[in-house]
Amino acid sequence: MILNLPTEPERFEHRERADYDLNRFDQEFQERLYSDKGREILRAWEQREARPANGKER
Amino acid sequence: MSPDDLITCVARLTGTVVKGQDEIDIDGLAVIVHDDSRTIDCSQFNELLLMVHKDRVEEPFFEHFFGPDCTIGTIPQGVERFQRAALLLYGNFVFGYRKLSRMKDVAEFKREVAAAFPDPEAEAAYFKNRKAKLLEIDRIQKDQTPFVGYLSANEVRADYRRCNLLRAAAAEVGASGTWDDLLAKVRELAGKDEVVTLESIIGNFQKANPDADLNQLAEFLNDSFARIEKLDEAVNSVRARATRNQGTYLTWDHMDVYFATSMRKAWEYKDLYEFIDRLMAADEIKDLGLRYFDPTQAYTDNRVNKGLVEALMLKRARCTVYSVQDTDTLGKDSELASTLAQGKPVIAFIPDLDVEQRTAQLLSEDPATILERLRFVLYADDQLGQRLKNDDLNVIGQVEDALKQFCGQKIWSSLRDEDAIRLFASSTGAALKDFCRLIATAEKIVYDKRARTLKESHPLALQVNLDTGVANGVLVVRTIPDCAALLRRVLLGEMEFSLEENAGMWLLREKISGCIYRVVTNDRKLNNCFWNFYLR
Repeated sequence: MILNLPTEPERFEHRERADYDLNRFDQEFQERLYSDKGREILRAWEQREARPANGKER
Repeated sequence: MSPDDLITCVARLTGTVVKGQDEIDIDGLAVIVHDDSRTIDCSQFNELLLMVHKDRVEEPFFEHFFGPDCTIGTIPQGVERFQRAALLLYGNFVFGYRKLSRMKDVAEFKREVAAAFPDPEAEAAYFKNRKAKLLEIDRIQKDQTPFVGYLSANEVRADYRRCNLLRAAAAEVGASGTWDDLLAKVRELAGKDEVVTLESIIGNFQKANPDADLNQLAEFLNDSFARIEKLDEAVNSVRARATRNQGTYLTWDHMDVYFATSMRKAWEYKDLYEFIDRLMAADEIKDLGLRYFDPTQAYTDNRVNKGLVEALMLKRARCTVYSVQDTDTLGKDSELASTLAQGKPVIAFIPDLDVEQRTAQLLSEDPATILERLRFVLYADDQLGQRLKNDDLNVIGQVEDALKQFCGQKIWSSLRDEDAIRLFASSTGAALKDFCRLIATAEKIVYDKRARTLKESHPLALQVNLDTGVANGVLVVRTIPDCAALLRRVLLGEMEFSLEENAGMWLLREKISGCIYRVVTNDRKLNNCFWNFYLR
């Protein structure tokens, strides 16, 4: 039986970590998640999103 | 009693054989010991000892172990009392006899043997009269405890970021765009290692909503984002509370119980929460107002500090309850060893599963959890494949495929889709129940085997107090009432033992668990080498 073989590659958030620091994970994950261009586009989009609602940025 | 009986008793008392038996006045001894009802005091007992070439004892020793009403017939009971004390205190009869028999001062003697003969009433009064703690734990509810761990918290944050990226991509493409435009935009925005995951999120949405357009996707993403954002806020809130809890644990002036465990998956947090909750509410211990370190309630982001906090808790707690979950891990096994090495009791809890109850519990779980349980039993029970009949294998194959499909089509790891879970349960029907029963049966076999290993065969189920060399055995229990009853006995000094001789090896067996707690080996070379490093 090969039932226990995973069907998908391991996701980044499921990897064993040396600490429980969510902020550090978040930082590493964002570096992985966005392309350089994507980071700029996302920042601009978030600013546009935040403006009409006058809400707080994350 | 015969002279031979007396010689046997004396050998047990002193831990060494009676030498020079051909020089013993056996006829004189026979006259003295033949009447079991004959009372003897300390000086007469010493005359008996000298008749068989052994060192005499002081009054405190005789009074404590043999008592004022000692007769020839009760000498074996006195010897047994001594053996129990020597096993508990020193793990060595020879040293115990030499040390205790020579003490002349009653108070000093009582202090020395106090650890082996605690006063349960005084111990109970200690717990009951203890003042309330100044700071209580801010108890995090069961369903939120996984956020204390990194896996669930990181899942939420990853979903949050991915969802936000997809919202931005959808907005950039606009309602007039196509699915291909969206995928192209995602590839533009995303780092190369995340593209596949993001594409699978879109793909899974399309599979679940084949007629949906980009507008509906945008709505779905906004709705998901709001839900994940709430979870993210819950993670932050839980971690802030758990951080404060850790500070509270550090300041408590008493710590009675440490819970050793390894948790990673969400259900491991929930299982431990439930176990601790039920244990501490048990009738056997609820009146004691115990203080315990519950790892589902404490958090620190730094692994070094986490290790130090847990090491301190292990030092401070009077005993450890080791929750035997799926795998033996460095973490909890180290905690078990650390407790034993300090000479403190370890109670290992291994659930005695009721297959039908466990089946029902599994049926209520998320399909991802059920799939993980399958992986666990396949890993832990290498005989499972051989044990299953063809029908069982068909059920496993069929439901496993359905579970994998369900999990593969899940859009967000952190959001539980109740409708989809209900639909899955109804579509798999009786097969899912059969599947869960097979897993529950396999889990029971795994846990039973673990209990047998720890109770009967693992050499390190018995370790030593590194300060004294006294052997210290793990106490295995299978039910919460037994765990609670034993915990009470441990904390109040009420543990009960049977003294057994097995092939010349003496051991104390704890009565609730049936486990060996203390031992004296009869291996001469090992004894000599071992005690040269402790009692010299």
